[in-house]
Amino acid sequence: METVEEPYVVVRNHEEQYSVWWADREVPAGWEVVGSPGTKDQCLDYIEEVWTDMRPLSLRRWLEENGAAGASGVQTA
Amino acid sequence: MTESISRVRRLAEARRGDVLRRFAEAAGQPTRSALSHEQEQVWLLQMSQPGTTYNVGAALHLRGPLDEELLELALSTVFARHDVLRVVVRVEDEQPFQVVRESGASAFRTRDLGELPEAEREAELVRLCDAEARAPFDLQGALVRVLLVKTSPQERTLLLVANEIVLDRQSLVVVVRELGELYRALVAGEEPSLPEPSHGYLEYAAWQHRWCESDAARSMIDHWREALHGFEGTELPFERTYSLYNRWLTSEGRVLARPWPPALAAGAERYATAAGVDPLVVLQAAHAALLHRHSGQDDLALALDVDARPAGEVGLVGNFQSFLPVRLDLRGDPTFGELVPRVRDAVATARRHSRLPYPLIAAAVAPEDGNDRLPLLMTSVGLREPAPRLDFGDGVSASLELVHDATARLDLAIDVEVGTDVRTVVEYSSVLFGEESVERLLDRLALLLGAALEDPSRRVSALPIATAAELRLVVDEWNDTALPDEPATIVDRFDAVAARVPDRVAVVDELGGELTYDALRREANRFAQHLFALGVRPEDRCAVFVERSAGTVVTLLGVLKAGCAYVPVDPDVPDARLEAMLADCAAAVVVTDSSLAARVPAGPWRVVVLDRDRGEIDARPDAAPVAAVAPASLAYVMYTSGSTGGPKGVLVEHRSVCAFVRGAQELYELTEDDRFAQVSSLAFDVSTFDVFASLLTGASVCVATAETRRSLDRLRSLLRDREISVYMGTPGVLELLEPGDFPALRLLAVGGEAFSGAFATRWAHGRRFLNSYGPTETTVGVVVKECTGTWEASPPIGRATPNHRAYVLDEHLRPVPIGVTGELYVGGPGVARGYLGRSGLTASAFVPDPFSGAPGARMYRTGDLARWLPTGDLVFLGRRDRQVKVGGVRIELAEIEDALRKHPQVQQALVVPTEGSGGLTKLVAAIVAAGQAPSVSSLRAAVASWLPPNMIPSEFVVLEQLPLTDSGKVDVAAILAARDANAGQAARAVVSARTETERRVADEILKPVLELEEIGVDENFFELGGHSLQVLSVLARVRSIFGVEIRVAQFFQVPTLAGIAAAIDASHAEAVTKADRELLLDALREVEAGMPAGAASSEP
Repeated sequence: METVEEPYVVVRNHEEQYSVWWADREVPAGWEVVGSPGTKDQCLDYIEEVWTDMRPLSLRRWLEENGAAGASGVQTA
Repeated sequence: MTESISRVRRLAEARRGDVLRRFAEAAGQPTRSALSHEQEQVWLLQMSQPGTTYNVGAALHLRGPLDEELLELALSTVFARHDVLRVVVRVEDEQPFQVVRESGASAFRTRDLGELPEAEREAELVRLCDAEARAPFDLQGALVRVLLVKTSPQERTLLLVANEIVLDRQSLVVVVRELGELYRALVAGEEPSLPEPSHGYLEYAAWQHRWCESDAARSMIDHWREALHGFEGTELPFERTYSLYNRWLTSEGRVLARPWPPALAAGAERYATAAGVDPLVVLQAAHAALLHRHSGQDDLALALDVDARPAGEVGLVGNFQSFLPVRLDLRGDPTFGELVPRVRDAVATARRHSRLPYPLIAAAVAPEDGNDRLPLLMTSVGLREPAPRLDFGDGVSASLELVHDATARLDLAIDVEVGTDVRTVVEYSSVLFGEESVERLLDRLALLLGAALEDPSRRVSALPIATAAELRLVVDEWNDTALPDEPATIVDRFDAVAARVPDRVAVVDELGGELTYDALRREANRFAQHLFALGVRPEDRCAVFVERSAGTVVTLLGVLKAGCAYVPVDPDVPDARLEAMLADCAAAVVVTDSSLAARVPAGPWRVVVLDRDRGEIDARPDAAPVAAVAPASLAYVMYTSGSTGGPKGVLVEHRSVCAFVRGAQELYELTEDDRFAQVSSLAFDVSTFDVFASLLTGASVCVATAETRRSLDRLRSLLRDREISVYMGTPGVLELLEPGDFPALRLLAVGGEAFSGAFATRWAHGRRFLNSYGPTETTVGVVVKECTGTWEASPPIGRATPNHRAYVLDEHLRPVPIGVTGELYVGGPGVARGYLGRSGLTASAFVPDPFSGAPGARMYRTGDLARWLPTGDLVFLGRRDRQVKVGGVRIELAEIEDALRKHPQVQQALVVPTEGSGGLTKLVAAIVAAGQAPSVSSLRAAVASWLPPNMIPSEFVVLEQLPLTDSGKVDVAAILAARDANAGQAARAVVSARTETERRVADEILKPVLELEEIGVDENFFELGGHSLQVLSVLARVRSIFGVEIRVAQFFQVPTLAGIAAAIDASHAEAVTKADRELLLDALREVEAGMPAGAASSEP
């Protein structure tokens, strides 16, 4: 029996966290499709490449606003 | 009696001789024969399951002026017509056979309920029916019994119960119909309209044995062997946990009758007509689809009820009932319309080969298997005709009701009966199913079939098996755990507590260290300032590689207060792993002690040696640093070893810890007066509970030293002397402690691995006891079951804790309903950020949570299998990759390992599945002995006393230690290699008989039966080619040679030379002890007799 690989898509939420979802199924609320469908492995490879900062977006923004003030007198290690 | 009846009766009397002659059996029939295969199977089952009945019973309700004498006459005529009704079974030369006696048990017993109050008669009748149907037969005596119950002058019930050795259900109906016709004819003085019996059952039995030797039979054996090659059995949605599953020893069953939607029956019939198939096929397709949807199996078999009665012999009675396995292929997710012809063809093929008796099919397919029935025949769906209308002549109305004997022939047999009422009658194993789950399965079958008939182009995977209400229940209602809580940071929550209870003790250790909340806050601030001074930035990782003390808690808090995440590294890890972890997490700082500092490799990190740098740290200001810490900031990184690839760093955020603690405070009713113990390694997230559930509550925590972690005595002292009130631990250590030693321990949470019911019972007494489940990826224990009372099996893991969510989903992430195995997913604030530096892996394990209602939410795929109980509790079914199927049943290897560990000479046990002969899965157990190596037979016996035969490993390997791979996992390949080496040795050196009993059993019994030259004491009877039919022969010889009775079930527990010899010796020993006891009692009696009166009872 030949197994046909189901097509997946890369999805991303408001925190810019990535995951995969079935291409032919409705994407859950709060997630958007990034790029075009592929195999699951292709999608995961893509994610491995683009998702380099795993901090949630809201945290990144918050740190940009508060980070410098927080670490007064601190030098980069 | 009215005049007309007595006239009729006189007439009848005159014809009595005629009737008997004309309708008695045909002359010249054999009076002795071997049992047919159908009979032999039923006989064997009853021999091996003492107390189990395989009976068919009919309650014939008769209303009107009945002539009991004529009824008896009619009955004796029926007995005369059918040889099988008069047979008795005898055993000679170890072979059962049947002999026809002159007369059967036609004289019925009577019971008059007239003296009972009228209101009680009905209940008494029901009780009598059940009792008659359920009472076992003495298999050496008459196999039919008849009881006439008189409930009122006009109402009688004739209870006709036969053992299945003589009648199947259909034959019973024939017998009752004949009885009616004979009675009617006798009363009316007419010729009965019955065909004269042409053949007897014994002729059939003899014919069947001859046929089984024919070429036709041989080619059918080939057919079945090929048709069932590699078949692994059918998995049913059992309700009960597998450890209760011991079908070999019990066949307790029940019957459930429920209305079936008439529209559904009609719809199935219409569809069948249009598709040109038997309506049964449509039902079978629906049942197969339902099973597939529950188990995910593509390859399953339904039992097909076949009537082996030779063509044209409709009036022949006896046991002709047989089940055939119809193997179905559900691969490729067919539509229902595509599945139906697949089922049709499979059924047709099976029917074409149905003449081969089932025991021969089973023997052809699984010669190594001791159990003929389990793997192939588990469930069926059938169409049943309603009980026939009976004619007992004018004035007597008769109705027939079949009564059940409380035995389940299959695990689940569903029959749809289409008569005036359409209903389903289900016979099911009450050991495996509760009534509710059978009802639920019927509802699901109806739901699925209805949808399939509505649109046959729907794929099986798209057919509904659960109602929307049930899905709402498992997804929403059982996850309705909301608790008021805001995302928070550990730092804020801790500082708030420290401000509230500054003088309470926060942390102590065994070395005399003690810090109040205020002191801890200030020390942690200083350490955070120190890290600041070293230049750390928010989200930097600080490895904590220290000896355990109260100061460790300062370090952890200090790292968090600096806006960094701690990475705990256990001092026990090898240097290579330490270096790998530091590199993987790109540690900015490594915090250590001078005792460990030498092991810290050089790298881009700054190293803080706590004792060496003490002066510098203490000089830092104790004010809170203004660090950038948000609820989504990283709190810690803990490394887990996954099933694939190397260790993964799990990124856990502050909000997850705070949410976990908030839930724990609620659930565990934590107070400032609680005392926690921090015993687990910091590298496991139980330490998250120990440290933060205590500190964010205002309670105190005692940090155990490394020595205490390793010493049971010291651990006992710590828990007892420090009056620890709340403890979270693993079952391994707690198993060795005595619950009574810890009166102060008010709450115990146990997790990390499964534990037994006995363990839960022991610890649940006198304190709150919680089974806690949760992977590191979802922050400590987020699924919890509070256990009270007595537990016979491992408790479930419960449901999601406050603010968390748990789902059981299929491979398409669709929720599965109650009782269906799926993968456990956890959602909510405990879900970690992901795996450090592995975004692809993170994306595949942390997926969109479509059920929480929060847009963009994620859930973690645990890789664990689970299912919902009707109570809303989850049952943990092990790792997805640790489940195997043996003999068609999904089994949990850990359960076998638990059973092995109960053996006193077993220290560690690991069970590994491997491929055995014929592509079937077999189990290999690797054992690390505690002291002297245990014998294989004793290991086998250890498992056999807890688990059913198909869970007993076929091979045992004793090893010095479990081989590990570089990543610290057990090296399965090395175990299998060791087994092969063992096998090579075993082939050269079979352990020969060691005792006189073993020698005689070998020479006089096993060698001749198995036709072997040599036999080892631990070699499995079945692996040596023995068949279950030969078991009786072995036991008969044991009886005649040793005068010892071994039960079949007992034999199956340890089917080896050693096992048989041990059973014989034990039996002899018992006889001796009995004799001794008698002597002792006699002696005591003599002494008492010689004593002054009253002296024997003078003791207060």
